[in-house]
Amino acid sequence: MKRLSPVLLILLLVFTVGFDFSKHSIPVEDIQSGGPGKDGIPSISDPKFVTADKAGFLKDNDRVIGIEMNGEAKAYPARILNWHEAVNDRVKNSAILVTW
Amino acid sequence: MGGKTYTFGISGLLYKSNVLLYDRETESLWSQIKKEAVTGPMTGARLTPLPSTLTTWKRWKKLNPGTLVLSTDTGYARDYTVDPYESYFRSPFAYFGLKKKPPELPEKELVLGIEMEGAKKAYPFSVLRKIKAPFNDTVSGHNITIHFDRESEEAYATEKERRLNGTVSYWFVWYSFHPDTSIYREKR
Repeated sequence: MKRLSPVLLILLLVFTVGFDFSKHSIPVEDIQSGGPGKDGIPSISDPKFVTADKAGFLKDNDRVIGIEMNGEAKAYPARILNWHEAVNDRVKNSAILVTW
Repeated sequence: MGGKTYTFGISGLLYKSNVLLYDRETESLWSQIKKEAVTGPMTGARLTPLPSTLTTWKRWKKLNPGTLVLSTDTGYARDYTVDPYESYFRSPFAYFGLKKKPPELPEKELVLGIEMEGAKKAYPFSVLRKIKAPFNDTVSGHNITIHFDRESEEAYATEKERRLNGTVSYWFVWYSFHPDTSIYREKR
């Protein structure tokens, strides 16, 4: 096994503090820091929605993730997802997670 | 999941250059691409994938005029007119040095990845842009149809008109999770 340098080891410890590694299915040493730290990118947990005619901030060619469940359609713009990466939402009483 | 609702945050950690989320209830880490918990008490628990579409606002609005749209009133002060990843999107390289370059395609080529009964296949956008869609293909004995809309670059697969779960991602991400994937080639 390749020896981890002490600096890398310390960084890994700093970044992984607060998570539970008691069980794992991937090698913990393959987990890398992405930079901003835990919640450095804040996910959205209380999303608000507008109708299409109120979505003037969107341009025609903007990318969106669209979902449609039992007649309910929702669009999650990349413009917002870029800053939050995940939205915790509900559709028809089911909890859903939209990730980017 | 199991009658309980979990809320997810961004851990700031990556596995194979791909986001790890965590759930606030147990602090387990979840892989975005694998859609399952990879560390902590929830290890092995899976999220049920829902069919979703990555497309343009213009096309989504046209097909779903009654759609709701996530509001910019998120509770966070962010400038949503700015794309924080613009330079990454333009760059031909992955953020974090790759241990090994993926073979055959440029690392940041977009692909539609399909998984059926353990068989994986990647449809490169460079090929989809050139050929006539929809077209039929076979994955693990299943006859599937690949759809691609040139204008919006919306790509998805169906089987008997039922939409399949597919993943649109950079080639290096798909390949690092599925090194045994096959690649769709243009028929000559």
